[in-house]
Amino acid sequence: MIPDPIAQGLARGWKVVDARAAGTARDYTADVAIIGTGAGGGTAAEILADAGLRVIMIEEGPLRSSRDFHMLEREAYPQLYQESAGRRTKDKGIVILQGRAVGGSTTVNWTSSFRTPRLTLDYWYERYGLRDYTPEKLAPFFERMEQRLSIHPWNEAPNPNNAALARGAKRLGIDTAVIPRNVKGCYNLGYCGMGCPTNAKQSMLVTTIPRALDRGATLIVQSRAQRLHFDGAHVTMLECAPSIRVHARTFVVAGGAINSPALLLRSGAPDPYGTLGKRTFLHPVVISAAIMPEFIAAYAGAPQSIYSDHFLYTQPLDGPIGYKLEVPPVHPVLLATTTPGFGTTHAQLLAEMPHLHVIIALMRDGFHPDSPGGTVGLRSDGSPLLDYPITPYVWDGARRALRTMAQIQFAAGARMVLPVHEDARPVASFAQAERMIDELPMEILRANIVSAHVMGGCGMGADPRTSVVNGAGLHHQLDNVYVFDGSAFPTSIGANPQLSIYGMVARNAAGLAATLAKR
Amino acid sequence: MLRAIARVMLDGALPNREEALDAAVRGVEVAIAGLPAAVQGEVQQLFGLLEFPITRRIVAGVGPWDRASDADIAAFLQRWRTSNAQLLRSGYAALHQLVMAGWYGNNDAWPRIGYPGPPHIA
Repeated sequence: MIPDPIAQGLARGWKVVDARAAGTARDYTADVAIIGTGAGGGTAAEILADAGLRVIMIEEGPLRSSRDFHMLEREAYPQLYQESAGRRTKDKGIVILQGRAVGGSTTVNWTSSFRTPRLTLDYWYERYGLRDYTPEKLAPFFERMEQRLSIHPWNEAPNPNNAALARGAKRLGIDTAVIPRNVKGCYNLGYCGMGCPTNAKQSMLVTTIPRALDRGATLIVQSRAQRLHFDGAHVTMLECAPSIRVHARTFVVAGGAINSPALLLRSGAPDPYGTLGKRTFLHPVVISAAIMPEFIAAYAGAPQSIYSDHFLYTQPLDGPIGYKLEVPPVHPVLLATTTPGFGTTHAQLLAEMPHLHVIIALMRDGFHPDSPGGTVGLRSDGSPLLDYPITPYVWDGARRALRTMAQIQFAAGARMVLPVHEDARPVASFAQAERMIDELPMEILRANIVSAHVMGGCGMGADPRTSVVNGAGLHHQLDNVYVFDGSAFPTSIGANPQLSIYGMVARNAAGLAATLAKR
Repeated sequence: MLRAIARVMLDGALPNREEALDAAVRGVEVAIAGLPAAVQGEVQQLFGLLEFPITRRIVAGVGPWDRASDADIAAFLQRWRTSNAQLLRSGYAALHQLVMAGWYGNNDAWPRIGYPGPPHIA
């Protein structure tokens, strides 16, 4: 039996409150209220609790732990993801995977951990005046979090799905490298996306949040942050649903890049320059499937261990959109919902599952005038909705990426390649694939576009006219509201964002702790 | 309605048709129950459109679901899938997502696609 650190903590007397349980107290007071328990909220909770502050965390999702993680999609998606892993943009064109449980997306992500690329930070420095966001100045914070979360390049053999990416790329002279992962004693199972059943993944759920709770923090679960109440430029209280009120000196917004701007919008937070909820980025992803002669079993083994940044760094940052290449894990529900078509053609493709090799291309959005990203708005019931129109600039990248992936897959020995697009069919050569991809209509709900990285919407910057918070994460117009999550990024990252969030929040939470200590 | 659509969408994927269809439809119902209210409302709207005889004829072009042939239903799905109207494509995408998730989350779906299921942890 694998020890469950959450069960043990609860037995030790952690202060965990289920907002839906009968008899729950309705009023709470703290030094700092942290809204959201993902990469940003979790990191902040530990640092602020370690500084001796009274911390309350508020989480919309449930508290689940290794004993609940059965490696079943039918359980994991409804329990651990926003909208049962089927959240979509306003026009339904993009499916978004986002966590919704204690630990946020870190509970269900695939563990890839990259520092913020230098080019991205250079751009922030130049365009957004973020003078403290240089690789050198951030290095100590990245180091601290890499140590804290056991982040290191994967030192076992890549699974066959990752190996095929490395092999195909190598034959074409395209560089690949090994992905650093936040794991300790990993069993190499392949089910990171359904909650780690062995607690090897060093998510917020098993690291920073337990530490904060051990230091006396309170965690309120199944409670949606509804509205901040203001007294001038000062927030006095957070109202949650079901009805709970949290009074605090300082509020940290860390609900992820859809929910954080939505909370500020619902609350009627000041937005004098109309920047709130704007410039939301997704790393829009296109997918290419291949049938390999050999056994791939992409459902087994560390899901992501090989990547290529070739198409990010061989062309200018503000030129045609660049893309990062990785592979995803392939499990039945994710595969069946993503595979185009229906009936026997669909069934035949699925029957190839043991031989399926899949590559994904993550496009680096937000660095070009034709890539302004999306806008978070509210439905009539106050729930958030992201409008992300895909521009021709992004579609151009989608087409190039589909070509690249097909070429790599044939170089790796693929028998057939299928670009994941409703109008595509499996083809047996790169020449055929190229001709087909050139003709594919690039439109939503034909090309299959997905995202697991939502960023921006409360962007950082020195100039209030083009940003929502400053480099410390402090809201430009509110004196006690900080944004500590991926929504503070002024562009996309150009890499899986978790370590970028850890690093930025390690820096800004330490800054906040110092500020509060002086008062 | 759902059963008729699932029967055609999952043609070639179901081991024992009637039982498997029951499981698929149950899976879809569970999936819908897990959606937020606003999205559930959209799904109910879509289902209403497909169930109400007049709109069913106009938007889907099929007769009553309990009598519609597999070929008619497949033609309707194909029309929506490849339609120039984004709204119809999104309706198809919703049906596809619900039915596929509803079926392939079941253990019974796995032998046919060579998926061994989750490993045993020692």
